[in-house]
Amino acid sequence: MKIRTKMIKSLIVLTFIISLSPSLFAGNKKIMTVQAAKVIAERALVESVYGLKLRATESVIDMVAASFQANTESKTSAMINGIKFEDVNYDEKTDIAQVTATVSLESIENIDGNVLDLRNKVFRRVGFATSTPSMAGQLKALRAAELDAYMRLIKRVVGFKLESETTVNNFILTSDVVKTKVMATLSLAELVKYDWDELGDASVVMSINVKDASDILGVNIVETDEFIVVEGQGALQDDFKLAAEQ
Amino acid sequence: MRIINLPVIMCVFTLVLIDSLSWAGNEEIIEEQIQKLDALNKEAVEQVPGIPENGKINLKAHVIQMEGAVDITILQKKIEAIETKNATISLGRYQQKTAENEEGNIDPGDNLKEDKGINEKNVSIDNSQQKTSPPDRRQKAENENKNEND
Repeated sequence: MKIRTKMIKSLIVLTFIISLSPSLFAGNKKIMTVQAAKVIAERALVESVYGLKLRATESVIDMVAASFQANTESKTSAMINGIKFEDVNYDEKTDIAQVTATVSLESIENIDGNVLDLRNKVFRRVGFATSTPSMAGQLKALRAAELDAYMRLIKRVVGFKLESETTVNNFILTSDVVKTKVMATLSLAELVKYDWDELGDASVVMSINVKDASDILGVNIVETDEFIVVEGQGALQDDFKLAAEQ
Repeated sequence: MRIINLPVIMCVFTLVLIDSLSWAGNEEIIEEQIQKLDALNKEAVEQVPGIPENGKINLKAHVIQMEGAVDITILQKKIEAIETKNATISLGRYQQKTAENEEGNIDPGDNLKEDKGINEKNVSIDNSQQKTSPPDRRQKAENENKNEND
């Protein structure tokens, strides 16, 4: 009886000690997640300052939703010095890290090889990451929304190619095949806002200062507004594909 | 009572959550995008001069989307018009185009009795077929008559 009591007591003491020192269980998950968020934030910053190459296609046949196909690819590669990380947050419950990266540069040679006078303007971008695959859905939706926003900005600034086949019957137009192609580089895009709705779909608001962009790029952008503002969307689930399969 | 209600409430909450998750997705975004593409294409096609009443239009254009407007520059266009000719079609009798009647018109004076055997189903046959098309019986009878005369 005494032995049992002693054992119970020692177990309680051991549990108490362990609970007081959580560092005993500390691993590298948090560090890795935060590090990943830093890399994502750096990439976003490079995309904003140096620029990115974007290729996107959309096509639909006979206006049937099941035939709709869209593909967007982006690419960037640059070396930027002086990136600082402002806010580093980590949510232990969801294993999601959020990092804000900033950089201020006098000038940069952008993706097109043009030297841009950035006048020490501060660029700021946020990055999210997780080490838990089940939590990655919303972060992927955010990335999809970012790419969609880049594409919409390019459609406004540079434009895109439209290819179509149309049937006319008694002067009534019917679109048979409609394709759009976007292939351009974009720099100086800024993230204004990001958000997720209650269902997990992401939206991103991006803008480009028309005057700044015109001055820095040396190109006359035809726009009446001071800023070109677009909203990109990204979905958590591919329910379109599921519906098409059914 | 409370113990019974709690699982029920939990189940209802879970069902609502699962159901609401099924509404999330890209289907609505894609359907909206398809409508936009259709509208954009029609706007581009309408800028092509000389759209036929019936036909096909293939085009390539450069488009810049602006706030509330679209700047479309047509780069390449191919228009295939399907023409419909105005003609008076008389139903009932048909005569194949012949050397005497090259236009293919039906004159009141034309002797159509010989063609009685050729009904409207013979429209697609060519001249060589027509020459051999009369019934063999008639040919046989003629040959027999010739032989008798000889």
